[in-house]
Amino acid sequence: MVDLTVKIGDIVFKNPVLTASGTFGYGDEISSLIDVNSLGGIVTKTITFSPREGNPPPRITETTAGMINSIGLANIGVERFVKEKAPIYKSFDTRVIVSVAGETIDDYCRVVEYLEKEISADGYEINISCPNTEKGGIYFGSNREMSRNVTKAVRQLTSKLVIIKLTPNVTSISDIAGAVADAGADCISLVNSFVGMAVDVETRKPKIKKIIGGLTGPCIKPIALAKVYEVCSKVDIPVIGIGGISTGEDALEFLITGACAVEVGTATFFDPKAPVKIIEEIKEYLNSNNIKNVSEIVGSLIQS
Amino acid sequence: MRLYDKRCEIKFITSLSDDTYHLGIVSPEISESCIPGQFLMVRVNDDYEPLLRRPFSIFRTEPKEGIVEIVFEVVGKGTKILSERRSGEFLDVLGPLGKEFKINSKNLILIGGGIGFPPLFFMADFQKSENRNVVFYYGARTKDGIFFEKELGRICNKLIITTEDGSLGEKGLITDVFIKDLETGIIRGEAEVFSCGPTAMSKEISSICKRYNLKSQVSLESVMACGTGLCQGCVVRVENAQKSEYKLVCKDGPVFDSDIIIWED
Repeated sequence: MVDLTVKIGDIVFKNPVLTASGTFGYGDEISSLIDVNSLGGIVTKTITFSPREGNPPPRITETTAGMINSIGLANIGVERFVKEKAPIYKSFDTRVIVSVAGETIDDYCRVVEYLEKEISADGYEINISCPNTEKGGIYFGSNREMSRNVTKAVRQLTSKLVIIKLTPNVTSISDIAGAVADAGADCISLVNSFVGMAVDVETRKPKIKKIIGGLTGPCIKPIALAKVYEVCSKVDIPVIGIGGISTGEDALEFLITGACAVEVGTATFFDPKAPVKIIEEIKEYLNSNNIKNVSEIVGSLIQS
Repeated sequence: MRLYDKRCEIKFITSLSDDTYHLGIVSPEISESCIPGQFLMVRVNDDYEPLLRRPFSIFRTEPKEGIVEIVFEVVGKGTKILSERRSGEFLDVLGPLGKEFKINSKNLILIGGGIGFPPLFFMADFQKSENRNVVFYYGARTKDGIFFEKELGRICNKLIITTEDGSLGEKGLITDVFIKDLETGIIRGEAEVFSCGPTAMSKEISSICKRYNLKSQVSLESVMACGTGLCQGCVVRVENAQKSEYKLVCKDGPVFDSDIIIWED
């Protein structure tokens, strides 16, 4: 029997596979298709203080082995989230991480404060990397000082797990990672989407209304993996790998490179059972390689 | 309603014209439980190209044989690949998805434009033993775009075919023929309109129905990534009781009361 558990901060996850924010709704959408309790954890859709209706359509377009989205953090706001969605989590036997975003540092703090008072999530993933909002999001994540400040501010409000989700759309992601680690983050998750664009040559219009969106899916996996490698080489805190992970082999690449867990995103769109299949495939790999504990392969990359 | 995500055998795939195909998939669960207006998300191959599943309205079911059918037109790489799949092969199929047409009347007017006809065929077929009066308007550019005419003739009380070039049925746009019938008083009494077709047609039908005080529901089309509400990609703006908001075509629709839709250009 292989041990799939991983520990990040004080939180034990039953396995290293979580769902990525914005790709698994609030956690109740497809619970008839997959057993959420078999997952290591879920990261909710990003919650902001006030509800957001999101960007005008078209919001998504398919690209080669990927897709571009510009949803614009459409969500029901923290108050309704607490009332309508959070109660479901009491029946979940898996870790629930709430993704949080804001337009200002105060905004991020207000959401975390509200959640601290009202619900008992296992932790927060601070989204400082969304490319699809006018303010906040990526503007925090691409600035070292602002990344540090928002991390510090949130850290002071909670003793729960604080994960900072980084954007790859920066000159040096390890520089930003170093800053948020110093500011007290428990963990770093990366990558959020790469900015991308697609044009319809018949109409000469951009394929999404906001012109530029976030590119995700299998096409970004090698770039994401390189970013994870870069960050793991720089910081000592745990790293969660994200970016195009669609199979057990994909997940294992990230784990071997140094991520202690992974988040599965776009794959869930085209294969709702992908996160569960990935867990099974990791288990099979460990079994067939006679590895007792998944932590043995984390960072086991042979560089010679 | 339960949702199923299964690997399903292709029972048959036949071409109806140069670019239109009729596909039957073995899925007893979906076949038994789906209702008109609902759709399937079909993964056309096991590759990452194309990456996403494609949404298709359900055309007909054969619950005794456990078969669910779609009719689709080749419009891009996804539908091209699907058209090249063969019976005996397997496809990942997710469904049944979305909200159905809701019938509140004895008199139904079904309006299908081009490749938008399948969900309305399903509706006519599904309720054929219900003793309702069903009038079916079916429009296409030419006679080559009209399918299952005989079957429709059997399951509807009245079938009105229109083609833009006049090669079959009445010559002209389906919307023009519909208006003409409304004005000449052929359509009497309380009737409900259900439509599916190109956006321009749906928009026009919606405004005609408003003008003639007819209740109408429309099935919308949208690009979708997941079909289940996860991605929030397929929004349409609606206005209901002075409240303007986005709704998801996949989950809140694809069928909507047409008078709440804010049609964007």
